[in-house]
This record gives sequence, structure tokens and C-alpha cells, in this order.
Amino acid sequence: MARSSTENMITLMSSDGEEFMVTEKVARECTTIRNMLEDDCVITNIPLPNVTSDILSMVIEYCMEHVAAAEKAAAETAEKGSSSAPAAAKANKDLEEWDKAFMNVDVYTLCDLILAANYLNVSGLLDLTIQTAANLIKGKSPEQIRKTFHIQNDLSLEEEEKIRSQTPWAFEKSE
Amino acid sequence: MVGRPWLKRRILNIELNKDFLSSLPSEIIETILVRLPIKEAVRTSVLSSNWKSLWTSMPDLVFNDRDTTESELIRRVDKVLQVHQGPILKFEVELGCDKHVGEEAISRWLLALSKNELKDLCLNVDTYPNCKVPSSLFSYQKLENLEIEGCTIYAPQCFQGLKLLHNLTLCRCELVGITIEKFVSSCPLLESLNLVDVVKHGCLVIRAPNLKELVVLEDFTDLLLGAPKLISATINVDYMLHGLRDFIPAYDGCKSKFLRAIGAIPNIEELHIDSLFCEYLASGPLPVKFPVTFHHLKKISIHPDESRKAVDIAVCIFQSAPNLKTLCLTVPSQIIWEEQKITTISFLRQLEVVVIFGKDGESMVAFAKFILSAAPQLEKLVINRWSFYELVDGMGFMKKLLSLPRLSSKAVILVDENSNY
Repeated sequence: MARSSTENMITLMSSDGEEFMVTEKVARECTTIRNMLEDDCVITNIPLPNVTSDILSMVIEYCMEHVAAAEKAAAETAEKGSSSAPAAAKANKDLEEWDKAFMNVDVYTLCDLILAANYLNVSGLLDLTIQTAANLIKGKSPEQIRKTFHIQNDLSLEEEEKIRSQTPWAFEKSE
Repeated sequence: MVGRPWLKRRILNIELNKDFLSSLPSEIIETILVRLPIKEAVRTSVLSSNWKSLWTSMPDLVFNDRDTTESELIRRVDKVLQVHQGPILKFEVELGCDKHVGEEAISRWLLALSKNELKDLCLNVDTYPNCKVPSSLFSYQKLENLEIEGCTIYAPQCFQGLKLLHNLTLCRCELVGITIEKFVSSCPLLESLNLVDVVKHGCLVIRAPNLKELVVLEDFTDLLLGAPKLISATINVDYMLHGLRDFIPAYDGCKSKFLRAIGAIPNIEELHIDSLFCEYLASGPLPVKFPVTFHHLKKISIHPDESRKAVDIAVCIFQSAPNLKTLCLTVPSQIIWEEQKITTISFLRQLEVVVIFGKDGESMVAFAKFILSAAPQLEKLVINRWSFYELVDGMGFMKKLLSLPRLSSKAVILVDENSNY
């Protein structure tokens, strides 16, 4: 990847002490970091005590891919004067495919990614992970959801029956 | 995608069977729940004691299960509102055909929503007679998006408008105690307005300083539009409602219908006009050249009826758009295209796409001939597929079309169904 040497580099440090060097542009994808940079522009080293190295590396991977896609689209627009609709649609679709493949993770990683995206305020990644979690719940019975997310059912049969009777329509067999 | 060998390691290190989802902060779980159909969100209440009441603080409530009976729906909405805790930002109720929700129910629901929180309200009831929406609607001053279908809306005596409203959709609604003019002009931030069958054969006046997008399907007798920031407008006269009535101008000012209707939208980029609206514009005296220039207009779709006057209107409008890139036009069958009609060819300079609709091959060829011979930047001349299929001699039509000389070397001729260029 050819990057101009004048571009500011920023070091992000994970909770377990691993350091990641990224361009300022990539770091700015995280609104939390962008705000820090705007408050103090000489900052070059940012500790992130809430994010482990494996999760941080994934967040960076996501940000880099999205920055690259945006740069590519901007370059094409500058070259041709205006972006052609079919090319833009294809680029969008490619990025969507990439996102989809990126979300091929276990539920533990997914939950950690949600927390990291929320803490670092990466709106695109937060939206993607939240939607992925919703899709894992959608269309499943309570028993299937418990199994997917390893949720321990600590309700007694009576308690569960009582909850069901509050909103019986939610538990009707549909279609 | 790069392989992630550490992911496997990670899983080994994680306490298996640990419930990560439930340990997420409740605000995050709420954002997951609002992306589920409400039925499924409520169903999470039996997952565990942790989840028992998580759904009751979801900020968005959307009831769009069209298969329920009205009494069942009312029961559900009542129950949910009764147990709900915390702010409700979005409230949406959609009812299927022929279902009626009484005024009491709607009043009760509105009462349960907080006036200081609600941003989105959508009531979509497909029924006759209309459901009644009480005037308390207008005390929800935080509303940004309002969509009401099939209701009679009562305005308070002292109408203050909705100061933060950005998007307004009214469909088959009746307004009591207020005109649409007053409604719209009392919402200073309004950016998008969608009106379908609200004005019953009257004068439609829209004055909106921040409006960017307008869609109108109405049976109006007169139109007065003042929207300096308007970017996209679709103006259709409801044919079914309009019937055979004439357009009677309610405003007898000195300005022509042209100027009243489309003279005060200087920033317009996209304009879609149907045949009845052309007829409306043609029902007054015609200007020779439209007195306003649309410098920003990039796309026009205009479908004049079979009258010569309506065609003149269409010509007049697109001649006033020197930066036009896309033109979609229905070429009338009775009138053969006359080049003399064109008094200025500035609109041709940047034209890239022309889509032709029509019934008569000969008039379509005549118009195509003019465009192909005079538009230097033309990239595509598209014949609408359905119009093409209807032609008596499609083959002969195509032969003639392909033999026409083209000024632009890039120009291609094609038949396509999609007119979305």
C-alpha cells in the first residue's frame, strides 16, 4: 500500500499492551479518537484500555477497508468529473460483501466487537454488528436464541408461564 | 479475508458457555431489539430473568402486523404502552384494509406518548370513514417525522405548527380547522413534503422556505408554489379524482399559472410532471418563452397530453433549462414535431440522455430526428420498451430510427424499460 510519508501516524495501544500503528485517517474513523485528536492535535499515542488486541486489530481492519473504499470512490469521481452510477453500485456491493464476510465470527467476538464499536464510536461497524446480532435472533424460538447465545434460563416454569400470559400474542405460532 | 488463527485460540481461552449477549449494556441490547419485529422483541422476555423487561425500554415501537384484527391490535398497543418504561422516540401503527381504530384509542395512545420525547409518528390506517386524530397531535413539539394516512386531523384553535418537523407525509387525510398552506408554513424546518389526496378540489398553496423535496398527487384547481430551496418536485394531478372538471384559478392575480406554479423554485434540479398538470399549465395564457431560467435543472420528465398547447408548455419548460442532462418526454401522436417550435437550443447543449414515450411511431421518429441532429453531447436515446411494443410497425420504426444522422458520435439508440437514468 503506497502511503505518502507525510501522513501522520498514530499509535493505538490495546488493553493487553499491544501497539498498532495506523494512519491518522484510519484512526479518525473512530469518532472517539477523532474527538481526542481535535482536542489535542499533537497526540500520537492513544491507550485504549477497553479494547483487547485481537478485537482492536479487527476494528482497524474494518476502518482500513472502509477508508480505502471511500478513497477509491473519491479518486474515480475526481478522474471522471462525476461518478458513474453502475460503478458506484458495484463498489457498494463489493463493500457489502466484504462486510458480510467480515461478520463471519462467533458470538463472543461479535459481542466484543459491538462493545468496541460502541466505545470507539465507529458508526458503520456498530450498525453492522448490531444488525448481525439482530439477524441471529430473528425468526428463532426462545430456546434457539438461548442456545445461540448460551443464555442460561433461570426462570421457573411458573415464572415463564406468567410472562407469556402477559403478552400471549407474542408467543403465537406464526405462519 | 485474512485468516485469523488467533480467533480459535481466543475461543479456547474464553469460558465456554458464557453468556456474552446478556452482559452487554441495556442501551445496546435495546438497539438490537428495535431491529426485530415487535413480536419477536417482546418474545425475548422469556429468555431469562435478565431479559424479562429489557424490551419494555425499547425507544421505537412499530406495530405493522397487518394480519391482526383491529380489536386485537388495539389490545396489543394498549398493553405495550402500559408496561413500557422510558422514552418512546418512535411510534408507528399500521393497519390493514378496512380496519377501524376509534378516536378514543388514538387519543389514548397519544396520551401515553411523551410530548417531550416523540420524534417519529406514523399512523397508517387504510379505512373509510377516516379515523380521527385529536388536536393534541400538535402539542408533540419534538416531532421530526410525521406520516398520517387515512385520518381526519383536527387542528387546535391556536395553531402553532410543528417547529422541528422535517418530513411530512399526508395521504388521504382531511384537515379540519386548518389549511395545508397554514400547516406547511407553520413548520419552518420542513424539508420533505408528500401530499396525496388531501386537497379536495381546491387551491393548493405551498410556501416552504426550507423544502427540498416535494411529491404531490392531488386534485387541485390551482397551485401556488413558493420554495426557494426545492431540489426535486413530482407534481401529478390525480386523474381518478379529477374526472372532467376544469381547472379554475382561485387566485386571479396578475401572474400567469406558470409563474404561480413553477416560477418560484429557482434551485430545482429534478422535475416530474404528468399530463394533467401539463393540461393545468396549458389552461391559461401561454408565455412565448418561460420568463424564468432553471439553471440547476438536470432532469425533466414531462408527459403532455394530446393537445398542441400542452406540447408547447413542455417545450417552453425544457427550453428554460440550459443545463439539462436528462429529458423524458411523451411525444404526442397527433402532432408532428416541428423544429420551428424551438426558439433556443441552449437546452440541447449538455443533454446526455433522452427517453421517448409515445403511441405514434412517426411523431416519435420526428422528435428523435431533431434530438439526434442537434444534441452534441448525447449518449443515449432510449425508446421506452412498452411504447415500442405498442407500435404497429416496430421493425420499420427501428429501421428509420437507426438511419437517422447523429451529431454526437457517442450517441446510441436502445429500447429499455428502465427510464431511471
